[in-house]
Amino acid sequence: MKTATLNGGPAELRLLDLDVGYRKGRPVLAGLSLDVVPGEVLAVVGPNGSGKTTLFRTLLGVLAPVGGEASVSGVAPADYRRRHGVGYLAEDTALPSGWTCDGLLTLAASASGPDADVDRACRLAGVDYDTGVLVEKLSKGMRRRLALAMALMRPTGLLFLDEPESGLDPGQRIRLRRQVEEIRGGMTILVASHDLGELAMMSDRVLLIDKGTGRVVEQPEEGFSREFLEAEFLGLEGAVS
Amino acid sequence: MNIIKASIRNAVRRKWKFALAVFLFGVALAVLTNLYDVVGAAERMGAAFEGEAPPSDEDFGEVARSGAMIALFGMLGVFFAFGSILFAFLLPGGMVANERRSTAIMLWAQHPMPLTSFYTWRYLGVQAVTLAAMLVFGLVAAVSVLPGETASATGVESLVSTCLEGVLACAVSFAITAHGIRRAAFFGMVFYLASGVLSGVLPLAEQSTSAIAALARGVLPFVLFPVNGIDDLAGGFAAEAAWEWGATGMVLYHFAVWTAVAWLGLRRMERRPLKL
Repeated sequence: MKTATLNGGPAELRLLDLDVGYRKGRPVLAGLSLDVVPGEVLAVVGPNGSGKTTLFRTLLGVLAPVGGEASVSGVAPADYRRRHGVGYLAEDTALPSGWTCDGLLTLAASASGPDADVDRACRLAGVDYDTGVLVEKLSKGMRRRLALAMALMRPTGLLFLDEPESGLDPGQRIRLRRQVEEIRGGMTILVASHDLGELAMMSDRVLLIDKGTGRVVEQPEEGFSREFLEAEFLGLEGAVS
Repeated sequence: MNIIKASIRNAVRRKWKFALAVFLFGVALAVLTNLYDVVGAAERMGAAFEGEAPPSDEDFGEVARSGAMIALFGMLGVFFAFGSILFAFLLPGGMVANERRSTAIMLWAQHPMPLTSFYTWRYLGVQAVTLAAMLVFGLVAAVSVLPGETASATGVESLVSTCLEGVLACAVSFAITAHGIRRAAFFGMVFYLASGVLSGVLPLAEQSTSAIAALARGVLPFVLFPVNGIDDLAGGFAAEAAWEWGATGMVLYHFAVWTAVAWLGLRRMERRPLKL
């Protein structure tokens, strides 16, 4: 099922010789080039510290490139975010304690403007439990789904999922994958994860990123498999350090 | 408006038990003040040891009874005053700092509402709850005022100073958390207590002619939590009292400063939502 009409439609990403770093002369991403077509689900795979989160931060407009270009649907990432908004599920979902799920959803909806749709967001994120309870009483998986609902509160053309499966049990991971299946096509999705099996089942292409450089792996005819991605991952220089 | 409502609901749900405890301390204090002659008890305690004859067993009994009541009065007074101000510091504590790594960045990414506006609305909700609670605490404080010349303030003065102190404490706590500092209520309370101590010794500096004393007299009122300024301002509500424009200006100045500090913190987060 495709999602409702989005702000600006699914986003197109273009990176050209992108250099990004936190300190001068020490780039985390160096010379990264990539095109992501609208509606694509791109998995971002790499060892810890390889630059996955840095890539997300750049595409969110938090970090400015020190070299090269990054654009989202033809404009700078920060401009795209300001115009259309971006869904972002942070790696660390430390939702504030003392709030009920209803309260947090109301806050997120109020902050997300007139386009916000709580019911749609909860349905897509699989928030089907009692939302009158306190956030701290939820299991990690329920909290993750609540955070995903907050990230999906406003229909946008671009969604970043930073290690969405973190802390989820196998059943919850399968459920998350199904939720991504449900929203795919209507938005461009970038997923950073260490779960190669889940990524194999949900991704159109895979960006293998290591020591600042990246390589896109196209889907073979038979589709991605865990074994295929493991072999690709083990080929990375920093994979088994 | 939904943000304010959600913020009010959350603040009430989180802190109503604390507020109720403070209120009950206040009610106990009011009951004690109105049903028992606290001032008379203090006078009787002093009188028991004033005569040349050694105190009798009856005097000792009176001293014990009066002493116990005065101790209870003091304890309730401290709990009530401390609880009222702590409540105000606790309400916004951690609001921004605890959300910075997840909720704030997720809402920032979706953008339609800038984080500065989002947290300003949240703050207004919390401040509304603070004001409502302080009005209740202030009314209790007004009823608890000791009769006659013993009282340092009238009922109206107590009400006004309780409200102003609470609302300013909430502003201070919010300003601290807006800069990403987690223990905003703790640091706010330390600032408040330190200000109280320093404000107490400040009059001593007026007798000194040293340069440091002159500097302290000139600078500290602009830096410390304006306990004296609020009392002076509240004094203007007493019958036949002249309005203290200087104290009014000082209190407004502190509100403006802490609001500006909070705004700078929120602007900083808007520009750099993640700690990089």
